[in-house]
Amino acid sequence: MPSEIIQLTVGGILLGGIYGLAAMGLSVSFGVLRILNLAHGEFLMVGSLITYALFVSLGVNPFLGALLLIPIFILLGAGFYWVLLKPIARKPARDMLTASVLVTLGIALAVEDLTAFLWERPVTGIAYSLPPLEIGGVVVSSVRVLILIFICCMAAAFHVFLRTTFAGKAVRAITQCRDGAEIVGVDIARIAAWTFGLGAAAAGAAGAFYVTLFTVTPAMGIPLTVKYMCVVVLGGLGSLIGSVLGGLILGLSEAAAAYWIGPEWSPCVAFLLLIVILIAKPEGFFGSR
Amino acid sequence: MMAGRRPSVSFSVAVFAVAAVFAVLPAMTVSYGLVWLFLVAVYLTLAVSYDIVGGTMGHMNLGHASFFGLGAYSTVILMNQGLSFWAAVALAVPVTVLFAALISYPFTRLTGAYFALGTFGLISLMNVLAHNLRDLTGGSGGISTPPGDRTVEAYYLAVIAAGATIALSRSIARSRFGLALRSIREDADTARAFGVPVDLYKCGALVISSAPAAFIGGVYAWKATYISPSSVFGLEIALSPIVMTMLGGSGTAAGPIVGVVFLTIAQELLWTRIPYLHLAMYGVIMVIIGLLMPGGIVRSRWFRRVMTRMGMSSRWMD
Amino acid sequence: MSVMLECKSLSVRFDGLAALSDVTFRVQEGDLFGVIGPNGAGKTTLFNVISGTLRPTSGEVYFQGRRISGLAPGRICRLGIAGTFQPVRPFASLSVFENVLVGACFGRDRRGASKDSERHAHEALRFVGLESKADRIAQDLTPAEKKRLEIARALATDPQVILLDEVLSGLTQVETTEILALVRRIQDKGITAMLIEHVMRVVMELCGTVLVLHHGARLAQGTPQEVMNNPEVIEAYLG
Ligand SMILES: Nc1ncnc2c1ncn2[C@@H]1O[C@H](COP(=O)(O)OP(=O)(O)OP(=O)(O)O)[C@@H](O)[C@H]1O
Ligand SMILES: [Mg+2]
Repeated sequence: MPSEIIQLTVGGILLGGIYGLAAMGLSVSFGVLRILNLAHGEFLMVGSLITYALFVSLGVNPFLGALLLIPIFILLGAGFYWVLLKPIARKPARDMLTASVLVTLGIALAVEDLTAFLWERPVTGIAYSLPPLEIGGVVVSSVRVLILIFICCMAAAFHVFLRTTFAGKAVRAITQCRDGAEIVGVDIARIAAWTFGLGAAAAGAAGAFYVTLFTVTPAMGIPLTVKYMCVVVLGGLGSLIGSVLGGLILGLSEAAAAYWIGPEWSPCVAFLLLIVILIAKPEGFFGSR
Repeated sequence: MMAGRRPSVSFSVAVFAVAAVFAVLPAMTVSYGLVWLFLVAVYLTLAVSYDIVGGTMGHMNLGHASFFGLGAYSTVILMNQGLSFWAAVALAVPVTVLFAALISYPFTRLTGAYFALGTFGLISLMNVLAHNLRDLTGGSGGISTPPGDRTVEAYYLAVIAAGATIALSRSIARSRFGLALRSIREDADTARAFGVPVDLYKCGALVISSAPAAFIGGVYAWKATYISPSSVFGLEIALSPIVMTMLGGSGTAAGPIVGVVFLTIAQELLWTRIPYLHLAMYGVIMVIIGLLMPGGIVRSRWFRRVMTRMGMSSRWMD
Repeated sequence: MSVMLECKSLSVRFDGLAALSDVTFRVQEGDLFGVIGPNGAGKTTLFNVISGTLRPTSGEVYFQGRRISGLAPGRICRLGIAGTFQPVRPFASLSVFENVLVGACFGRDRRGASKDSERHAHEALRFVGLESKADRIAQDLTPAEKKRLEIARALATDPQVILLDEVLSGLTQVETTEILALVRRIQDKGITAMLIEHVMRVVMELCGTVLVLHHGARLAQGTPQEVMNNPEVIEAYLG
């Protein structure tokens, strides 16, 4: 029994780490753009499928895959912002909300349906394994440990980027006071595009890990987005640590729900958490209106 | 632009003519056309009831189909307990309205993106519940009513429901209640400062909008004789009425109607020819509306020009 | 003359910052009561407390001898205190008439029939000179018209006290004169008015009583003459 619990915890932490990594991008881009991006989960889904395709056809291992995905997704995300979101970013709040829901949800639907059309069967994970590790008498899969290390590194890199580079400081300035940042001469559109790109890259890389552990289906993008929203709301706007913690909370609760109530109930956790947190803190942890 | 204006004679005649056409249609059309018109009426009911909250009050309720699905499931489950359709739907609507009343207070405290997000969470939750509560709902396999062909009856019911919902939404728009909802949409704090009972009215709007959705859900299930989580809580049923409303022009009298007619005709022409990628096409339409015509067809200049030339009064556009 | 409004040692703190501290004063019925003070003195905060949109940290507000602090803003509006906002907040996409109708429908004491509300709304629009614009969308109005609209919306609630927060700022000379005349006519109707204003000349000309706030505290109160000659006030304004 205890070993089962340990496996469960490890699984929950891994899942939570993946959620956290992907949610980080959403959190930062929401802070900068104030745009509800309902297509964020699609980045993870597409990242998963590309990793899978690279692995199956060229034998690229998923860690290398994750690294390859980062530059591609930065460009993809920045382009996504430039073409689809920049035109609506200047509208008054209410119009922008409707427009952003329409545009991002529309993209999400289009991507999912198109992927489902091209990819007939769900992708059932990558058969990628390394010799197992033994830590303190407990045997754990070394792939999982590696993934955790990777996620930590990426989160740290993200953190360092936001804290030390000029672009990162601009991002934080915009998050705190948009008008002020603009007056000081920050080019919000450019910063927003790169932030969006980084957010997409985080989700894409998370996708590379996701596919090594779980089954991927095209239809999972939108529910995943709701999960990231839950994580972001849990962790607080623009807070990377918050995203990681929120991700861990969600991952562990899902694992617990799957174990004690039944695996079919784990999707409920995120939706319930989301609703409960939103309602308990009506303005959200974002503190904006 | 509001209150007290009597419907003109020509307007009453138009309503009567439309009603007469719909009344005799079943005698003339083949059943395929009838099924299509039935769906149009279902979407009309959903779109117009959605827009009470989404357009008039300005709260984007991505979970409006929760009420549709709950109405549908309640009706089928009650029918399988031996109730007649009428008894079942007469219970299903109050059950759904009660549900709406229970969730209304916490949900309507949310605004803007958070309301959209919370209600999206709600319909996702309903979907999972319909999958998981197998004893009640039949799980992902769905659930059937006692068999029967109810095409014609369902058609009449749906048309009546659509007409009643349009009438309801119009009378709300012309009332003090509607004025209050619009003031809440513009600025809830200012509305509150001028004595508008903001919380009560927000809940009221959500509760009122749930009733037509629940009823048409029951009718839909009765006609279809079979429902599943994806057919009543799925993305397509959740989003189409909203997309239609936005396409037509949310918050206007004619918007939801124009949007439904436009998109169902487009569906009829496209969908039947291309059997796949329907959701993707919806997606593309959504993106186009969001980027190019946020006000919808009704607010666009060319539509106004055409309507004025045809002698339509401008009040359908407000 | 009776006391219309009374504030007793009002204090408001925003995490550490004392926006109002221990402010006490009375407003007589029919007076035009001026509130002046440098930027950030707490004038708008004072209005927000009176109208109920902000709860005081301590202290009470009495309206006609009845305690109103703690009541919902809508209640206070129906009891007879209505105001304008700084900056203006009309219901942007509603028509001018509908804006005023909200006040007439929901801000009045008794719930009249809807016909009555429309009549009241029309009267208020006529009073401020906006009736010809009744069908315009509020956001298309000029800044001066928006201020008139806010005044009309407040008047449509049939107030006994009207709170005017910098209704003259940002206007041209002509517009200022027009709105000043409007304020006089409001006073002639017997409505007690409280006016926040930066232009001294206006305050001196119009107001019967002036309250001076500085860093959230009451610095002086009295007739314009008394206040002007108060050395502390001169100090605060020059220093
Ligand atoms: N909601 C709030 N949260 C925190 N501080 C606030 C808030 N509202 C006002 N303040 C602060 O309280 C102080 C008083 O503000 P207030 O708006 O009442 O000043 P004012 O006298 O109306 O100034 P002005 O002449 O510029 O209109 C200011 O320092 C302001 O920054
Ligand atoms: Mg002020």
